[in-house]
Amino acid sequence: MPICELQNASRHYGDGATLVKAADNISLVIEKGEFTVLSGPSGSGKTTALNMIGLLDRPTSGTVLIGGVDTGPLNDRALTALRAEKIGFIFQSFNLIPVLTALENVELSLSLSGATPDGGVRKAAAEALASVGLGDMLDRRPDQLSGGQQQRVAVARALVKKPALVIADEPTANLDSVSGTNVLDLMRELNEELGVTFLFSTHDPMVMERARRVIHIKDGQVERQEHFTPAGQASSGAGAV
Amino acid sequence: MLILRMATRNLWRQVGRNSLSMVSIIMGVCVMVLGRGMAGGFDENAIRAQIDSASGHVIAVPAEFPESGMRFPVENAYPVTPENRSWLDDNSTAWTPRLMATPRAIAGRESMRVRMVGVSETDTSVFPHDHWTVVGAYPEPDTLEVLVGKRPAQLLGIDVGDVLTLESRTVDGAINAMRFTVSGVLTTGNPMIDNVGVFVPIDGADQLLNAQGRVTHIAAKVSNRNRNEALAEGMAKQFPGAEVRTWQREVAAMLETGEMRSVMFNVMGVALLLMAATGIANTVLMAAYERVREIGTLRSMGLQRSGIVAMFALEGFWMGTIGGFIGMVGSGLLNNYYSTHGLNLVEMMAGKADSMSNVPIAAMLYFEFSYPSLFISWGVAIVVAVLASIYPALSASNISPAEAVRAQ
Repeated sequence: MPICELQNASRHYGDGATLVKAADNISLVIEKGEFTVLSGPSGSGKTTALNMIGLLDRPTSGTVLIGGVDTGPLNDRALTALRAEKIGFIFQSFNLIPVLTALENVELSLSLSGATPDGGVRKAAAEALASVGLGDMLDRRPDQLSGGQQQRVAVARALVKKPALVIADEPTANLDSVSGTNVLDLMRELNEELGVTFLFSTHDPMVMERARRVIHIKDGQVERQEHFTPAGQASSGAGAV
Repeated sequence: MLILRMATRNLWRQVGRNSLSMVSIIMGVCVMVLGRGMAGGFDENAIRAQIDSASGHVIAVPAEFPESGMRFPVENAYPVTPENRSWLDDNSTAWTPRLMATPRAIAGRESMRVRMVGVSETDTSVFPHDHWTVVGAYPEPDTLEVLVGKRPAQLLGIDVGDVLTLESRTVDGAINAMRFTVSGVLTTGNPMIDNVGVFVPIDGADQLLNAQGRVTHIAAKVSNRNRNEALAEGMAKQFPGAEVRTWQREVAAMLETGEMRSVMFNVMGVALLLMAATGIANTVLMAAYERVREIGTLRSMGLQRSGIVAMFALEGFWMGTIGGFIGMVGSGLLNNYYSTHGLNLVEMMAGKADSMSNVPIAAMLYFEFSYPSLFISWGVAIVVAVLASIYPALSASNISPAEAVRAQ
């Protein structure tokens, strides 16, 4: 069963002469273990598609399935609970909670998901931070960490609850190339070793190089897709993907 | 728990702004606590002033004798027999006679109507003079000396050693006038005395009014001011021609205005707290719009709307709790100080009490101190602060998470 599926999902803003089709009849499927990129120029609709997949926004028409569950009939409370359990987010600007330490940021994510790991929330959060190389920075506040370190905390925060899908929106845009490479390598490693499913929105070549699948979005629609084998060979297709 | 931690730490992100909101809470609590303390104190002050300067615990006066004003009829003055004296000795802790009238006081070309009180040597046992200030001396018994209130002394231009003529109708209706030597000038802080009062030995008053041993007032006290019914009933039998009044009856009207005063202070306090509420609502609303991205992040992580509301309401709760606590402690200490040391009304009222000649006021105002009043004020501050933060908290929770996570 796919982890996530968009079926003819559209997101329109305004009406009449001011109608904007941010996403227009998009259909795509994300399977477990994918390392997929939504690519396209600014305003192409990739963020809108991510918002619908991440249950941050509802489609104007069409269907969003998460783990086979149609999210259309769900109310805000149920959508939020589903998001807490199934989806992790990594943002361009890291979006750590500034008044919480690195450890507390990760703890919060785990607590909200409702998970009860063996050894407790705090231990699991500390282990998650250790796994991204920040085991000695648990008590630092975000303003005491570099950009790369903050993004690592964000990765730990997204992964600690063992989500079905991690959505990363331009995760390297605010990082220098070295930090960006390190964070991407970390995510790739988590994908390969733990089978974590990643869905990116980016036009950063560094991210595209590591992707197994790139879905190109243009004018709110899926334009084409490319599949890459581990050896780097590509094959293309169009339409529903 | 982490929500509580976040709300607590968020309080320190805008210390200046939050502090200003808390100052308004502090002010509101102070007005409530001190206002209630002062209102309660005024009631007690009025009671003590009435007892200590006008009525004792029970007083017998001629029928229909006015409680105030400047026309005290003396024709119904009544005698005090040896049996009366013996009964009063046995049934009260202290008693004293007074002979009161409202003669014209004349000094040279100046004259004014005054309240003359003829007092005996036992007067201070019922009407203590603790806060009286006399320049000169009290009149000696069996002399024609007079102690003059500060204001009559000023208006008549007289001082210690000068002669003051008192002119009055006698109990028979004839006109009489006598010359008294000023032994002292009196300041009490009680406008009823300071503005129009003169004190003479009761024998001198008796001569002026030709009272022949009759008096206009017998005031008495018992050990417990609230258990004066038996004394009142007994005095009514002892002086059948007189009207017996208790201090409770005398202050009833004043206590009614005291209740109004208390309500007024409460209204002022609540009004100030409502102003504080708008400040808190504004502070929390600003905080919400400054932290839109944070709200979006929390929502994306799975925090429900109710969690966002709780977080901002907790920030309001802390502002109310801290501000209210500071206000409670500060005003409580001040209230406690004034409840034990008193507020000196003599200094406050100096020159401002011209229109209060019929209002008995004790020199010291002791505030009413009560712990329930303090905690109620604190509780009100917390409730107001939490309620004030609900609207901005709801606004924050309604922000779309999709837009919020990308807000700058």
